[in-house]
Amino acid sequence: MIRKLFVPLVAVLGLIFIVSVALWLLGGEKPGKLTWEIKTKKTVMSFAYKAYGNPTAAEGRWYLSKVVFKNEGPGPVRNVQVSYNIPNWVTWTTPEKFPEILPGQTVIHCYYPQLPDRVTELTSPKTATLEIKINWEEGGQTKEEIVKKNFDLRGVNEIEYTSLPSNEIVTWYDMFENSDLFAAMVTTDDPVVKTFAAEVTKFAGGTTAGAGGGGQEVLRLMKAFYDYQVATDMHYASAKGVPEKLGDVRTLIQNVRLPREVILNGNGLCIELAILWSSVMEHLGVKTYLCLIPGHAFTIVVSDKGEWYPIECTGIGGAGIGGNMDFEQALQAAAKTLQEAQVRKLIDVQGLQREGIRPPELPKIDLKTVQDTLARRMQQPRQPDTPPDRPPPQQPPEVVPAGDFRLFTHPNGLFSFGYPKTWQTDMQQVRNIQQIAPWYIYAAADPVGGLGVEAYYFKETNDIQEALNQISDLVERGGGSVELEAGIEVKIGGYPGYKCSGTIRLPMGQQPWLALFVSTKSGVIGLATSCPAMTYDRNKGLMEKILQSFKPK
Amino acid sequence: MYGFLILMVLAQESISQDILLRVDDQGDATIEIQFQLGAKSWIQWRNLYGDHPDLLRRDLIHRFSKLEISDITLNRDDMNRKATATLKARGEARYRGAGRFEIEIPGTWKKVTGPGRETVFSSSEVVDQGVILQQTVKIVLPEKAMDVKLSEVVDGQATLSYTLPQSGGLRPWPILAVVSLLGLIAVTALRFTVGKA
Repeated sequence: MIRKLFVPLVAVLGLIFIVSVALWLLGGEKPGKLTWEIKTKKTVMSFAYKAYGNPTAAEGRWYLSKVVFKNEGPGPVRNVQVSYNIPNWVTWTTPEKFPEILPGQTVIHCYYPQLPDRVTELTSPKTATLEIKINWEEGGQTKEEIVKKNFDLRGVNEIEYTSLPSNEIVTWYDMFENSDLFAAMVTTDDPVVKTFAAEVTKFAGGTTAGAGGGGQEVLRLMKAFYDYQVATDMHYASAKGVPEKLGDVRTLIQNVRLPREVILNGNGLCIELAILWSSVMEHLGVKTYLCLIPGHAFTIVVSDKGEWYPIECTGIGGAGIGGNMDFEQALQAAAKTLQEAQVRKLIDVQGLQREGIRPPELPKIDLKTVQDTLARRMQQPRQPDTPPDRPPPQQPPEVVPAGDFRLFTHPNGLFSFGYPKTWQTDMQQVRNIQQIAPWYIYAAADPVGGLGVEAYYFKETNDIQEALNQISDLVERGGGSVELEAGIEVKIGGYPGYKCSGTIRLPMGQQPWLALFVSTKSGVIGLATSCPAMTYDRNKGLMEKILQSFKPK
Repeated sequence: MYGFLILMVLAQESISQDILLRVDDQGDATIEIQFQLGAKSWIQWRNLYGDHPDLLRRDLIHRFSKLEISDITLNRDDMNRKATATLKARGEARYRGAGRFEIEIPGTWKKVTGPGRETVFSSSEVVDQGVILQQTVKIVLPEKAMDVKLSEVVDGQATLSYTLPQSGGLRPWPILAVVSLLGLIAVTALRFTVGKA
């Protein structure tokens, strides 16, 4: 039997063997096809270089580059490797290896560059190049490709408050989506801050119990720090706060000095003084939050029992508002501000630093000079309260002197009005709004103080109430509401008009407004001004002045 | 993770959310996030996101740009102040070859049950003055997942790893060649053994 079947069996098995070996050798495995998409950040904020180098910071969102590999072929792709190089900054990294990517599979790789400390020596933006080398095996062949992407390393003091494009900014929170990075500016362990904190401790009587001392000890420490700043003539340097609302995109990139610079210069913006407060308090073992509200920033100091002590850091420099606040007043002012804030952003310094948003290693500095400077300030009496370079603290003041106006005239000469020369206009924003509200003609805003003016022209109606309704509809579509609180009938340029006031409530806060409307032959023309609620009393005069400049033709 | 869905609210209360993460054979995940709020927080949340799912989508993609997120949907239950967001995250589990996959787990998550095909974690953090965000995260692996392991936390991260039967499949040609060769040897041996007998 076996003799009869031997030949055919050998023939069949031999044939199967030959065919199998042939198919095996001739590529029995179908080839894979590797594709990728690379997303690279356009800028890196140098002061936060440690956050960009940390995959766990903020859920890993501070990567420099993300490569999304996909195998779009029917077979596997093998031995995929990716490595990175930033000439002059980072040498080629050890390749990250993916032994196999199966058909249809996606693999994501994010690059967190270990930038050197010297990146903090940058004082202005510098372009760098990221090189990405990809190696892989596909259909039995080894392949390699190098992709290059440019990005900007920002100067060490530059913070971009948001990475969203301007036409995506809807709420106040959108403007501050990068503000957690302020935690990296709290340079608790900077030798300059340590030296400064040592002087504060000396001023406080030589000993501090820090975090373990309870509320009374924290308050004692805060008072000592505050009084030390006053005694050494540290002051509030400018009316500039953190941005209030979008003037234009440029206002969302701000130069913020690190605590060592504030210490050495003896003055700071509200955000700079708040960061200094956090740095000193955290160095002394006390937890802090940085608190951002529209147009302003301050620090909240937290005792070990969880009690919150907000402090108005700008209270130290009182020029222009009748002297500096004493410590109690600074506490009360900040508590009031915190309570009244419609929106706020709290930055948990310790929590964020623990998560990887850590302060930078800064260039070495001669500490003897720092000590001498601080000692000299201590020996000098405080300067008079009205130095020429010291503008009013705490709240952004009225931005321009009276009469320093620029005139807006409607293209068809229908009306004109004036507004401060320092205010800015974003016509792209105006055009965006015009797409849904063609009656929206013009807008200008103070990028610092948050005041604004808007002009409307409703050519379809002569009814002022109808115009007001259309404005309300637009605001409601944005998730807000308009409240009309008072109004009187007036005559302007011979036309019947209506002067009114109220409050506009938006998801990002509420603002009081003043407006004028006139019913002309060619339609209703309106002019409205608004400002943050907390500055209304001070700015009402300027708002009235803008309305008085309104002239229908 | 995904806590910001509700954190933009100036919450007056402690808040909790449940996250269900289902991983498929390719390593892609479908994520379902569910939460319930009190009256004031619900109104604030609705103003920010509930009435503007486009902004929710934008912020999810932007803030979790480390992931590849798509197919985002939002379902609201206004009567009970509940919302459920679902989304797909590609490449959530990274393939390490030889059937082995890895999922990154934040070091702050505490294991409740598992590791196994279903592993549950919880996390809790103070997000505002006295306000606590509590999260329960349930990770469901593919049906055939085996040898599930949870590593220790290193550099703020742990890894949940598992093996799937080789999804690349067996290679038929080399196997057939070996089997046919063995058959040839066996038949030849038999032929000569039987012949001698």
